[in-house]
Amino acid sequence: MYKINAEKWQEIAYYINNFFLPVQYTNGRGIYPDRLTLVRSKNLDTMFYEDKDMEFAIVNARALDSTHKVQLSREILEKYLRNPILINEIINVGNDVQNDYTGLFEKVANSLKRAKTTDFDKLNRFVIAAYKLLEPKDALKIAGFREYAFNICIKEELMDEDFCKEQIALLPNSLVALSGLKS
Amino acid sequence: MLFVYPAIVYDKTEDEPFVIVVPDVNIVAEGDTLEDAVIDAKSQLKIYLQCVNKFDANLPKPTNFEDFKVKYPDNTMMFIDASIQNDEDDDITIIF
Repeated sequence: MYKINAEKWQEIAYYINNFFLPVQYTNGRGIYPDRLTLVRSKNLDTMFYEDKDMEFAIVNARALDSTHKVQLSREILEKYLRNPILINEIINVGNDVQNDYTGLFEKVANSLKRAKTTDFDKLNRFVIAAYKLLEPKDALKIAGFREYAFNICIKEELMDEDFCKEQIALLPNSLVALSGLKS
Repeated sequence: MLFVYPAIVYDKTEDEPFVIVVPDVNIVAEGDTLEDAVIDAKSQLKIYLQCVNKFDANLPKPTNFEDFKVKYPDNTMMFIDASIQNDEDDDITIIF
């Protein structure tokens, strides 16, 4: 039995793909459901602790039956998860030479908007496809972060281990594998 | 200390419950009644504030209400508030 319902796994993966890291699980009380809190900062190198400019995302641990997701998620998706400039900044943290991926992520953001969906499986495919186009060292950085985040999910029994391992495998975590992708 | 943020309210429809969005702090809440949605939003804001407190992070500044009205001219708006105390011990698992 996992803390997060299977219906929510792709949503959690989407947050991780956008550099959020699970940091807190709050057990529900009364009418309040269990909730997972994730955090993101611009600084992947320090893994958040030396950076005060953090964003938190709170996700219900249980899927909801209602069909409100498309509407209610719009504001949040626009503001926090479809921001090409911020994603470009996050990827370039610690780089001596700054790579400009803004154009790439603008295309991704537009694709996500046109999709008009909160089918997170579909959204994740857009994002992962873009990460595979990055310079190898940047793709490796992201692969490392994702592996770290999904391993936390395994360790804390938030989600199924096989699902997490499948997610980790979506971005090869070696330069050899990445050079194959780029060719 | 009390923290107050402006929020957007989406009215209940045939297919959707009441939805409250607090954009400044990345919160989306819902409920079959407006009261339930407000309770949900306040609960999430409290969790958000606890995290800010624990991680000593900067709290996002609430958008000025006049600016908020300009940004969301077609939406119903309200304020969502929550407070925290340093010695609170909710049923929380710190993962990381």
